[in-house]
Amino acid sequence: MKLLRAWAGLTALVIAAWLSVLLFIIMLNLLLPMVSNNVLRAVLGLILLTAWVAGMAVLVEVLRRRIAQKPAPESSAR
Amino acid sequence: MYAALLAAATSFIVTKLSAPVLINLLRSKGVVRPDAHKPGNPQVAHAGGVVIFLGTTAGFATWFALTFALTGVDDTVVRASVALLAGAVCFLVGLVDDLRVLGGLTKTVATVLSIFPITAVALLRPDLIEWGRPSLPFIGTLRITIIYWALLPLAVAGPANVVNMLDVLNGVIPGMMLTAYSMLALIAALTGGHATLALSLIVVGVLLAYYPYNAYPARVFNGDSGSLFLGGLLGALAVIEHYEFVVFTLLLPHLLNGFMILVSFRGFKEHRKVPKRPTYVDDQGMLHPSRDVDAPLTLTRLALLLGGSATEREVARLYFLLELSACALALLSVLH
Repeated sequence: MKLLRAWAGLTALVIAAWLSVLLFIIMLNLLLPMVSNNVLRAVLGLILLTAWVAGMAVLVEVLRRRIAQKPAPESSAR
Repeated sequence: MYAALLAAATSFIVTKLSAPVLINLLRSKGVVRPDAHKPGNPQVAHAGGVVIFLGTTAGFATWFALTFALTGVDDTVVRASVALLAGAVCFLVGLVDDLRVLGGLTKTVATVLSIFPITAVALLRPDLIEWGRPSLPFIGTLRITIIYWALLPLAVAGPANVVNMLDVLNGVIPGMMLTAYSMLALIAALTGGHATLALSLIVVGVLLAYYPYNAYPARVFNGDSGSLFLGGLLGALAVIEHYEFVVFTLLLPHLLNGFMILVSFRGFKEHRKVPKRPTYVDDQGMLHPSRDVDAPLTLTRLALLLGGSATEREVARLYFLLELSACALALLSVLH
């Protein structure tokens, strides 16, 4: 196994996920105070959260399908 | 701090002494499972969570006695007791699943019950556990009471189940959790989270002693009792002492893996009932990624696609390194 390549790839994925969550929360923090009603603000927050999770789910599904279509690489087995 | 260090030493000794006895007992009672990633699928003792829980309880009892003798029952003791209680609920659900297999959805729903001890104390003593104010990097304290309540059922059950979902190879969970709890202890020491510091050090003591028994080639599997307990306790500490974002970051590899599995299956499914495996093992014990269009996407499959085929030990080492990356991000979250 090319340990470094696998680690770099997965670490990039983890950092991307961390940044996307952080940016999403910052966006919520900027957007939600514009709504004065508490309940409306909570509903809007939940809708945005659901939409964001759905978007991430679509990304995962696209990745899963792309992986299955790609030809297998040369095995690095010893 | 000294009480927590003494408790960690106790938990280490108790785990070291009890592990061989309990593993033999589990084997003699027939609590065994085949190791699917080894040629010949040898039978390995299951429900190692019993060892982890016993060690943690012994360490906690030592810390409780020392703290009680020094300061009486203060807020830290109550917070730590509630966190351990929430973890204990997850452990019990896992133990039932280890002994009599539960369905994927049943198990997940049962772990939601673990939030009740925390909710009860938060309602009775709002000054002890303050809801809806998670601390976030670059933003500070958020006020999201309604959204927080909506997500609360997942606060302990979520971490418990995502840790359980990554418990697929020898040594992965104890290795990753040892790293995560060590970093949480460091962050708690830096930020004054006394209950988190005490329980994290106790769990570090347990896992240092337990790790060799689950490392490749495993003599015992953690079982759901072990993985649900370790994940659930992390979630409980996150809620009780406001380490939500830190714990979220520490569990990012687990969360990504869990999310990919849920999306692939479009819901909860018990791993024993999964029709297409994400990876397969050849006669030499090498792991390969599945190319089946219907196979679920998991972190292990992705790792094998990126780095090529590997032994179980190599993948466990990769996960340990990945958890170190998550730890660095968690530290960055606090030190920004």
